[in-house]
Amino acid sequence: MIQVKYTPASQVVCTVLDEHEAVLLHLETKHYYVLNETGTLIWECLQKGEPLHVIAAALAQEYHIDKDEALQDVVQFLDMLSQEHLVERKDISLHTNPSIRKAS
Amino acid sequence: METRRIPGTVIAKRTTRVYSLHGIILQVTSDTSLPEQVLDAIFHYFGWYGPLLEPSPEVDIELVVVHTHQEVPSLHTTCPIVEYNGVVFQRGLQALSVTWEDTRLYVDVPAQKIWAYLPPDKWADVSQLTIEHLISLMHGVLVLVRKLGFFPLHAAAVAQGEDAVLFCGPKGSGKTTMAYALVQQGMRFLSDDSILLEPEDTTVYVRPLRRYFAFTTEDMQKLERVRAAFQIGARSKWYVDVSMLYEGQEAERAIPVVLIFPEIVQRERSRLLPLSSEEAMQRLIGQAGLLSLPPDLATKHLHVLSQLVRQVDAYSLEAGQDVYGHPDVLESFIEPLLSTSTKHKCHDSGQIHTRQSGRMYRA
Repeated sequence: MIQVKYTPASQVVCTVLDEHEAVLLHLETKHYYVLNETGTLIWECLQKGEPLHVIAAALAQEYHIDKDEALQDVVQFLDMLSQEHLVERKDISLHTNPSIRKAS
Repeated sequence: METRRIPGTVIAKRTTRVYSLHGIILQVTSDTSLPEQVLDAIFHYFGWYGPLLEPSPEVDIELVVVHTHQEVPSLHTTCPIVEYNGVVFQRGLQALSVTWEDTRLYVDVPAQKIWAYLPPDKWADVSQLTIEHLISLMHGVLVLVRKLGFFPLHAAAVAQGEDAVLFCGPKGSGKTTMAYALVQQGMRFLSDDSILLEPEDTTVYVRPLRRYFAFTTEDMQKLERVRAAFQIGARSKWYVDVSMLYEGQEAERAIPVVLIFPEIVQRERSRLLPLSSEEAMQRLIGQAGLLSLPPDLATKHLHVLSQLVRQVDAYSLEAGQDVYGHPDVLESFIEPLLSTSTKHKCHDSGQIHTRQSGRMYRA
């Protein structure tokens, strides 16, 4: 089983602009992005290292929406950030290799 | 060991009061600056020229060039240490050491003395430092300045009481013209080009960097009072001390409440347009020089800019011909903004309220 994990890219810096908007600045591409309230919430979760399902749950709770819908939006949003090199995507294998251990 | 005095460049710059720490640094980025300017920046940092760059009696600064790096004094206790782009700064109580590659500089403040070891295979003396070395040194100084809690911004600033108006923009956008016009109308002067933002608790303060008006010869010819004080010849820039023209109108520190991005347009009438926080932030980033910083410092600088944006009302000023030579017209634009801006005092912002009420889910 593969779990997808997104983390903020090392060259991206962020600040909250208004109460519900944030600014991302990529120091290498020199591009500047503004996140809306929802995007800001997702980014803050990423900074805390939260996995996708936790981010989706936070979004669902905040906006009273369905968890599956929230997860779909989160994935779509993170793919967009990934295309802009704002986040790094890692596929983590949860699969454990078969092994045998001799019982005493 | 070879001892020299360097009065011709460094001291001349001090007495003409052209440079301040950050003013020099900003200029180094766009010019093939002399190494003396970088040394000058260090002197200012240590207050050799006084915190306000007040005229001080002639003091020679002794440069001791040594032939081995062991002859350069070293600091026993240092704070803070900054390392960036190969340039290492170590700060003692009364001294600063700068090391990059094999080069060693040691600046003894009370003795007003600099020891320097300059490897002979790279350059014979200070004057042969290359621009690459200066840029590396400049980056180190920029990092140091920010680590000390001051964040440079390419902007002019004037104040009325405790409230400051900032004019931020690239070269040629009218910063000097705007600042000078408002000083003529009685406002207090901080800088026409380079400022420091100083966050303190919940407020961002502005302090001057370069404290002199830098007029072009064309400006000088237009400005009667300035023209009367100088004999104008062929020079690219004229550095004019505001106290020579408007005594007692200098300000030390103020709280920015209005942020204006000027732009000179070929129209008769000027226009002032409100800017959203996003637009203001985008323009500020372009003038803050933070892209070459390491991410931790860039983040701090970015936070200070966003704090500034929350604190001020931001506008774009399309400056037409009506404001040139008519400081009262410019004042009529600015004065109402100052009197109505209460954002930093009670955080009253229509934009923020609107966004709160319009809060909605948008993924």
